[in-house]
Amino acid sequence: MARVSRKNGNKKKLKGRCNVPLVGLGDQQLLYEEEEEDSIDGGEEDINSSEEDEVEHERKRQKLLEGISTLGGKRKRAQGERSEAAVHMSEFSVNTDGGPGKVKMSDLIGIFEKNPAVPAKSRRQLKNLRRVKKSINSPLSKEETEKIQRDMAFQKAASEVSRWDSIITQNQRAKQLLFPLSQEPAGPRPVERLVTGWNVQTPLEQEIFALLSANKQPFTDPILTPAEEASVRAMSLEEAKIRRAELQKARALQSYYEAKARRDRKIKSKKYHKVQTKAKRKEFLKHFEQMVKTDPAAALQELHKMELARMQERMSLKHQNSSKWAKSKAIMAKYDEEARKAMQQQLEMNRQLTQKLVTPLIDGYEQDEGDAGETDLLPDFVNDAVDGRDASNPWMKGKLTEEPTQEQLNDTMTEAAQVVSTVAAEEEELEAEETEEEALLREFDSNRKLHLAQESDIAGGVFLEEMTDDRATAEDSEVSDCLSEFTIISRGREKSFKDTEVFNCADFTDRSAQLEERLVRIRTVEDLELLHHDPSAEPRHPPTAKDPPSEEKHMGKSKKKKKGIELKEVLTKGTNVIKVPLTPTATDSDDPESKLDQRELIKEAFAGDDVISSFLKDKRRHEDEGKPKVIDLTLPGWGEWGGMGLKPPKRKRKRFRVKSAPPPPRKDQHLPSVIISEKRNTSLSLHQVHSLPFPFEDHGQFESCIRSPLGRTWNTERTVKNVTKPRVVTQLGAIISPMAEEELLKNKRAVAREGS
Amino acid sequence: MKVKVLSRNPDDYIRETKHDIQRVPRNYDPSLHPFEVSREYTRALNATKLERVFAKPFLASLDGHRDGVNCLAKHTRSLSTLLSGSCDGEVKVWDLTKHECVRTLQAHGGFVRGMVVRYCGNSFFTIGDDKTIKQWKMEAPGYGEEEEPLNTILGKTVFTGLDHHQKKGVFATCGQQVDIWDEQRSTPIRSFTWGVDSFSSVRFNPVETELLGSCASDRSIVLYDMRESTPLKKVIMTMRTNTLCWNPMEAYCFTCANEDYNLYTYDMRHLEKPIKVHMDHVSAVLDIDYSPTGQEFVSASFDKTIRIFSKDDGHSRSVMNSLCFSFPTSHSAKRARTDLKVPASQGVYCF
Repeated sequence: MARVSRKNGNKKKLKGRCNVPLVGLGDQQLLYEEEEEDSIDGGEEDINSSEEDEVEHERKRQKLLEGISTLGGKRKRAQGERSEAAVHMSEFSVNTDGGPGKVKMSDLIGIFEKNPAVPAKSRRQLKNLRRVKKSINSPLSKEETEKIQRDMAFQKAASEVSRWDSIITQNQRAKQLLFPLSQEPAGPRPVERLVTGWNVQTPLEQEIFALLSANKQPFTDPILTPAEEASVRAMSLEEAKIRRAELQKARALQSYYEAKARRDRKIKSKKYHKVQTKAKRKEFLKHFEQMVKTDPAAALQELHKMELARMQERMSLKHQNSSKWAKSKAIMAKYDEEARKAMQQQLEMNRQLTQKLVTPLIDGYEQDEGDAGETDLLPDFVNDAVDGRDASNPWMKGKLTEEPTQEQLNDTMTEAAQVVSTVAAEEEELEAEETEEEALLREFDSNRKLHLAQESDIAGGVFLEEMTDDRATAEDSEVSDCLSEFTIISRGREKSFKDTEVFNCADFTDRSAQLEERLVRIRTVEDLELLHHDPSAEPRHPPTAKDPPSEEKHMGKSKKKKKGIELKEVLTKGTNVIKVPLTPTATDSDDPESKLDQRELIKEAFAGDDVISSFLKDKRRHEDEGKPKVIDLTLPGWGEWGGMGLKPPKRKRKRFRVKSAPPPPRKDQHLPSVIISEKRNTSLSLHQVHSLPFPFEDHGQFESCIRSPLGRTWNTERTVKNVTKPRVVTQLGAIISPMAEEELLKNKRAVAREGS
Repeated sequence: MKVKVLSRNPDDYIRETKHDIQRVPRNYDPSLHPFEVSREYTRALNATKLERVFAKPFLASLDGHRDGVNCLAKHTRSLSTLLSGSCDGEVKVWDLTKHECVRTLQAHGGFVRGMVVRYCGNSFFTIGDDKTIKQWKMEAPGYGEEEEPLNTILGKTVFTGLDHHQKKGVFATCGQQVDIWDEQRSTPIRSFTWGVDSFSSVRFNPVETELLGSCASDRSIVLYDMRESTPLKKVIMTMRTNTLCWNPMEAYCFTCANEDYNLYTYDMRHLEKPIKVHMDHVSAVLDIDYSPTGQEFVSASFDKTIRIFSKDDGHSRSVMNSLCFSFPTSHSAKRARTDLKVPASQGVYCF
């Protein structure tokens, strides 16, 4: 039995050693072993005394075997045996062959799938995990990892260092560098900072300093209080300067604005102010429209304000025409156009203000009442201006706007004869196209026509001449300076009028047509002059003059807004079309002879000067210059009797004539069409500038810079100092510490400031 | 009756103070002053010649070392203080204004290989051939006190270069590898290696304070970031680089002194090609230092000359020549004038 057990034990050990997992078999094995052990125990009790020695031997052998097994290599950890079910089991004693087998991924994940508490998302993730069968790569070798690490580290360091780029390039380009970079603020330094080991000693001092420190007061004179120091630190000098400049600018702008406002206020011209207020109102309205869209609440407020202003205006009775100004204007209005305009505006305002606000309750009769009131308020002249009966005085016919004139015309039409109707109709048409400058002129015209019509009714053509004469005289007496132009026009017109009248006074339609035509023609200054100086010129173009009226009738409306000079009217003569011949005078393309030789062409071009021969001459000259010259060293009178006009003998001359060695052959001696100059001195080029220095971009710049002198003789002191500024300025006795991070910040701030 | 009187504004002819130059009315009409170019040329030439004639670049010689001076250090807070370390392990603190030695201390057993003053200026570090890093107080010990370092760190290998961080209590050494040390610890907080090589110098970037550069004996320049665990980049040159120095005003530029007689200015981001090659030395360039304005640098060479280069120029601005330099290293002071201290065999020369 014991042997069996021993064998089993051995087997077990073998199994433990080779560590072969036996799936499924393990349980049986275990059970078997337990039985065996039990049986061993039973057996031993039976043969206790007799086989004691043998047991002893067995033990020794066991020990020996164990000892041998432990000798080889590392000591194997003793495999734990699971003998009893226990609550606490050591994790180290679990062996793989003991369990039901290898734990698979599916076993682990399976639990999650069954568990309803696990969220679906993680379940999905787990599923994905199971699908992925890629194994993790083996780690890189040490060298390779280090290489990667080094690369990463270098890139990081390089990018970190690059932040100094801007400041370094800035310093390279700077005209002057000041060192040390961070200048300590000048001025006295507090004693506390200079003397480190200074302590308060006497009780009086202690008391004083306690008091001072309690009140946060400076200990010595130059020191600032903490608050002051903080404020100083809060704003750098540059910032303060910028701030100050801004404030100065703002103040200056304010003062300018004030001065402008004062000047504006002092302007006495009422018209100016009126225009200003009008512009302002317009601006406001525009602004208001926008505001309605963007900010309705504010717009409503503005509306209320406007309403209030309206009410105040309405209450003020300013616009009621009862004021002194209004009265004076009313008087003036008959003579002065501007006054009339003002009056009209006033009336308009009045009408606006006195209008009842349309409310659903009060509509009908109150409106009538208002109208009645309005008519009462209106001054008389507005209405009486239309009066046609007061025709004898043309000045009394005030024409305020175009509408009243039309009305007036209509009125008169009913009164006047049927003949005039055509004239009036035309007049109406024309009236529309009139501008304000011509209003007065029109007025005269219409009045006169009216007269004519009336008089033709009453008397006949006989009176016409007389009437016009009268009018002329009346005008002559009454004209003011400003109207002189108009009188001239009218006079001119009357002259022509007379002419036409003399020829065909009976035919009214024809005359009206001519009249009309004249009206059109007297638009430009040239025409006026023409009329004035040469009245006889008119009948010269009866055929051309007759055409326009018919045209004008058609174009009446379309011409309304044309104010400028019309070409057809000014230039009565048609332009001659000059025909420019488009085809060139000579065509070379077809010519077969045009395919001349290039050389011939050049020859032809340089027919005057012979290029080739001149080049050859040039070359010869160069060669001659290069040839060594014979140096004559003869001294007349040396070694013989001398006197005036003595020539040294031939022998001597020959002897003292020195011929230098011929120069090396020219490089261009075999090249007929090339001149190679060998004058360049290489020794000189050493002292010349080879490449363009840094800030210059082209040689012209550099040359001009070099050419301009720097010295005091040629420049003012300031220029010299500016030009010869040292590039590096250092403070004597100051330690220049290497560039610090603060510089970077400073630079950043400066860049930001420039950007903004 | 109206009397017309000639009147002049006194501002036109009276000077404000007696220190002002006399106002001389002048007619600047160019036709009255011909030959501008030639006259100016003559003047400029004369001025340059005279400047050369009257130039006195040599200020003083600081004598006192008994062996060759191997390294120099500027004081970070005081312009007049200079430290020098010699080959016999002695460190001397000099007062430049008085030209005298203020303090002498025996720092190391062998060479003093490197020296750097802490950013606060209260203490300085030295490294020596005895494999130690020592921190010393800047103030001389009081009467009766013994001269001893504040702190001593025993290293495993010899250190060849040393530099201190601009703002933090961190310094870097180089030897077999580049080590970053915290002042409070006796072991490096980080060490960088990239292949087997020995480093000759290490320098912190004064602007981007976390970056370092070092020169290795395998002809390479290696850049590091203190925050990273690995070096950043390496550039291998045709010959060995002895020292490198960062531009204190341009964060990404550094210049290295090479064995091939030239100096190379690099942009840290583009190491493929140097921005500028500075030529003029006729022997290996041993040391370089930037002027605090970052506009110029000074280099010392084995050809016994010191040259001042503008950072943008390919050729030197001026040369200082001496016959007795054996191992010159150079530094420029924090002054505007590029003051130059060159340790020669047994003296420190100020230019």
